[in-house]
Amino acid sequence: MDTKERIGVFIETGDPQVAESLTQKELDNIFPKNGDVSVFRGESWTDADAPARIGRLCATEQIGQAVVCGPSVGSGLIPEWIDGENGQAAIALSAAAIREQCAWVEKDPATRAAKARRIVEMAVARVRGAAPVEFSTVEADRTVAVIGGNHAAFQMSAVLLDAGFPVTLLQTEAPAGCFYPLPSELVQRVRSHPNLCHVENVEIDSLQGLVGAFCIRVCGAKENTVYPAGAMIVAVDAQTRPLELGAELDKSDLVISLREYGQSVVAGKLDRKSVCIWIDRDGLDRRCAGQAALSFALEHARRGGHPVLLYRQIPVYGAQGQVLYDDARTAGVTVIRYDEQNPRFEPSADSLRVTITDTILTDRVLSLQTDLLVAPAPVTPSATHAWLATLLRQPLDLDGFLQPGNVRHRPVSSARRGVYFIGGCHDQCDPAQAALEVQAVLAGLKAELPSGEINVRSQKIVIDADKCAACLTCYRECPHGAIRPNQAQHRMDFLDAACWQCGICTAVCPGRALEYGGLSLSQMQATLEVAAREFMGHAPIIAFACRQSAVLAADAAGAAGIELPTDVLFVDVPCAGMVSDQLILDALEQGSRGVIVIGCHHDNCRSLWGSDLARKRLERVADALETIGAGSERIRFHSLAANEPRRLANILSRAVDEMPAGRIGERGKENEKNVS
Amino acid sequence: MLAENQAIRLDEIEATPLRDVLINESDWQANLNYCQNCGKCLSVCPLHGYSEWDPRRAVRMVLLGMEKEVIDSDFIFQCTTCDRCTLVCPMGVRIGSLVTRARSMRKREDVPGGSQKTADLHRTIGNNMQIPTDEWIETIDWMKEEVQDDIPDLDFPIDKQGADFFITINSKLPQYYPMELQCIYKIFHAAGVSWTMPSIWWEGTNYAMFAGDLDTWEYTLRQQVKRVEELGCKYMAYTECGHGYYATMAGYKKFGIKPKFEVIHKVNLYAKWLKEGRFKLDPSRNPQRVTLHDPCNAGRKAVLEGFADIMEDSRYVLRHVCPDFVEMWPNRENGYCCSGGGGALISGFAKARFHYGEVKVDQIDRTEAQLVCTPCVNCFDAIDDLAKEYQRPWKAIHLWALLANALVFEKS
Repeated sequence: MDTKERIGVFIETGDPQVAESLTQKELDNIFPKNGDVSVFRGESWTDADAPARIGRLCATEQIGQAVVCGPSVGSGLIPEWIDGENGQAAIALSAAAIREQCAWVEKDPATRAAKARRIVEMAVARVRGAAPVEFSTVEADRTVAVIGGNHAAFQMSAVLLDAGFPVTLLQTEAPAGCFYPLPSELVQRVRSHPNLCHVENVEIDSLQGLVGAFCIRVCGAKENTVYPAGAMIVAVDAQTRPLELGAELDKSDLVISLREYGQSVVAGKLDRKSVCIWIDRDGLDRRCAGQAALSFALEHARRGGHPVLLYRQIPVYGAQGQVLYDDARTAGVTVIRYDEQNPRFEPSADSLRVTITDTILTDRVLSLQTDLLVAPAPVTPSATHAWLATLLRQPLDLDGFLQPGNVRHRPVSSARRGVYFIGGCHDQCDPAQAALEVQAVLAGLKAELPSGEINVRSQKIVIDADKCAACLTCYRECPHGAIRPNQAQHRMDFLDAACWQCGICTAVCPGRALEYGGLSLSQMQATLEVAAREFMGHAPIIAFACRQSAVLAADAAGAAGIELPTDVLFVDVPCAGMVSDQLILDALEQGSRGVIVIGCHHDNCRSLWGSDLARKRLERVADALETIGAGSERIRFHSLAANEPRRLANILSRAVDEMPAGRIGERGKENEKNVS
Repeated sequence: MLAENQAIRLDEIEATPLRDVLINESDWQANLNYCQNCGKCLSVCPLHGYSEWDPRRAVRMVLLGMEKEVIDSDFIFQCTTCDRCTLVCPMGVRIGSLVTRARSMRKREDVPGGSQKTADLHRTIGNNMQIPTDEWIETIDWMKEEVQDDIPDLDFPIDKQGADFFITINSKLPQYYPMELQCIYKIFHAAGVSWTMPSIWWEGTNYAMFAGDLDTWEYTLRQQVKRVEELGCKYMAYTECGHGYYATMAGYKKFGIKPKFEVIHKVNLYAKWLKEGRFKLDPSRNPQRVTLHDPCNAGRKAVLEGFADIMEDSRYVLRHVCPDFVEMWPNRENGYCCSGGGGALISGFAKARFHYGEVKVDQIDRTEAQLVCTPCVNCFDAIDDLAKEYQRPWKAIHLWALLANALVFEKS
């Protein structure tokens, strides 16, 4: 046997539960001396310098793959490799996180030990035969393309130029600013910088490439021009419609825009005046309108003015958030919330009478006189938003703005490395908010483009080119822009620098041409074979657990002492979307009682639609099973968040109670005959 | 929806003294501007649902300048001043302050019920019941004689210069429940401390606070402090009273009174002495099932204001003197008004009291207790009123009664 293929199993005995469940004797039973597994028992294998110690041991003992067995694995995020020592290749790693599966919440020591044993065996099967972990270096262009023309675009350019990044500013619109005028000094400073390439009146034709090597094609009057960049920052403003309050008010001099209000306050023109600011006229205004209204009103109140703010809802997330709201009210801004009925305004020569019903005091009508009515222009997505979303192959939010409300990516990131959204992508641009976003992007860029090179793990996805029909399914389904058609060779190219290794492509490929690097189909099948063996007298349920949700929730459950059912075994996956039809059927065939796939909630998936894909896939497989008479009750999909350990326990317990007993797979029975 | 001509013209409201003082005086700081209209306050308010009034509505109206209606409303005198609203407010708005301040803006003759009159009596002679000094001394001595039948060596001086403890008493005691005085004597005697009964300014209640009569409130506090300092006592042993204790502690802070002595609530003293082993107890003398009502003013409101509360100490003592003590739920800071808070016993809104008192009745019923320990004279009366109104077999009892009953005195 090639000595490099030994597997190292590192048992953390510092934890008494682990030590008790996995004694030396027990381990000698599981891993006989003449096998390919070496066991190392030690006080701790999960502290800060553990990876280095493991690396050294692997070098001296010629171990190529490792399994770490501890209460949990650090923060719950399982690394896939440990760096090799002294030029050795990196070591593929699997984790047997005993606590995550609550092996020791089990009250009965025999059950505890059996579960711990099963978990370790699964981890060993998983890592056996893992491909070596390799790295490659690619050149990276450090130029950053900023697309847009508002505050955020100019602030971003300024900050990047100061940090030493060359910037290409592709101005898709004239610098206007919506509620906040754009300061000309900022524009001047940016435009006059030697490292700035500035292009005005731009229409984007295409956005291609990946981090370190983007390629932006722009339509010009003469010919199409191409701008290369290492990163793209989208900072395009949303559109504003003109104010339309009705014939009488539109003609009146007493109605001004929110922007005008802000400027007049600062210029001291409204110091003693009373003003009524009306937001949420047609439903709900965007966050920027509410926040701008509050900051102008606060300033106005501080100068002796009397602003009254009429609103349905004031969103307070973002840079200033609640503090601005509190300060405004303390300074004397009166806020009145209305609900179904819009307030009424009757203009006269030099003032307006406002009539309104407050949502709390519904049994009375309130009225007041005001010198001016201020109303923000309604903000809507522009055609540019939809177009850029198409070009970037990223979704829009429910209202049609760029950068959907996915918590994994807000406030500035996207599902594509090197692509950022700031400023007015999902709202009008708020300079205070933009200032924070710009810093967040800068930090991100310093990590992604630290120098002229990017170091990246290679072969994240492995393709069998013979099986590839170039059907483009993987290309269409990849949320991360990491797949590119290679027309010359009639196959797909996988871009390691852009790849998030979610595994969705491997599951959707109709030709089964793709495998996850470091976790091949045969490795998965070996894991499932071990997992599906009878456990404590029952056929176990296999739960494919997404690492961003279920695995973390299981860890939280273990830490909180919440019991998870004995009969459920976890197989962790990077994204629920990776769990293919084949894996589900395999799990059943190997003899498990049932399969649960747990992914993130809709709109919480790091890979955008990975969780949704898994849900739909399971419905199809369930239908198919129903059709062949095998019953659909044995497979389930659930969505979950990392902070829902009790819900996880609930989901698993219900599955254990409700799924039919026994198994439907034949292969499991055969395997049992071989295992004595 | 009301017609336009009935609209309230917010811009025509001239003076907003209540709003101004609440927002500007840090002492009364209610931070009304932080109100989110979330409604948590009204969800815990005993008066919620009784009329269209609730704390949130009152705050809203004051903020918009419609404060006259608030000051003239029955709500502010129906309010129990339990401060459950303040406890739960996520923005830290001190809604309770609004009510007390609003009360203070009513004219004297417009204060409902007997609170103002009672405050005036307190001011003139030093106690609410207008008991003259000689009558008071007679009652003290009479009760002393009764106790001396069983405990001959029990004695104490009146107005003793330099005694450690100055005792305050609710004037209801000598007037209606003089026998309770005996319990107090027994406890102090068993503790073996140096104490004295004062002949004047011994009153433990303060109805001026309920009436919103800030001037009388301050006056009566200062007079009492003067008396204690004249006698040179180290401690004022505060009677089992909720609002009086609160009026004193919060009042000292509010009016900037810095006494040369320390105020300690009797319940805190009982617990302290019990821990020090000064009492010999026979809890079998209290066989009935007992539950505990936490008076708001010496519980939740003490915690909110930052002075010593009696909640844990009450329980500590009860566990030692009652073999069958059960908690009602909710309790402690989350407890519920006895139905007599905020001056409600004499402000004339009996219907409201008995309406929200139903919750209290239900709480007590569930414990299946025969006795409700209430370390507060007003709570005591309120609970007995509820028992009568709802025809329940349980009744109120003071902590001093249970403790005194369990005390074992050696026969000399």
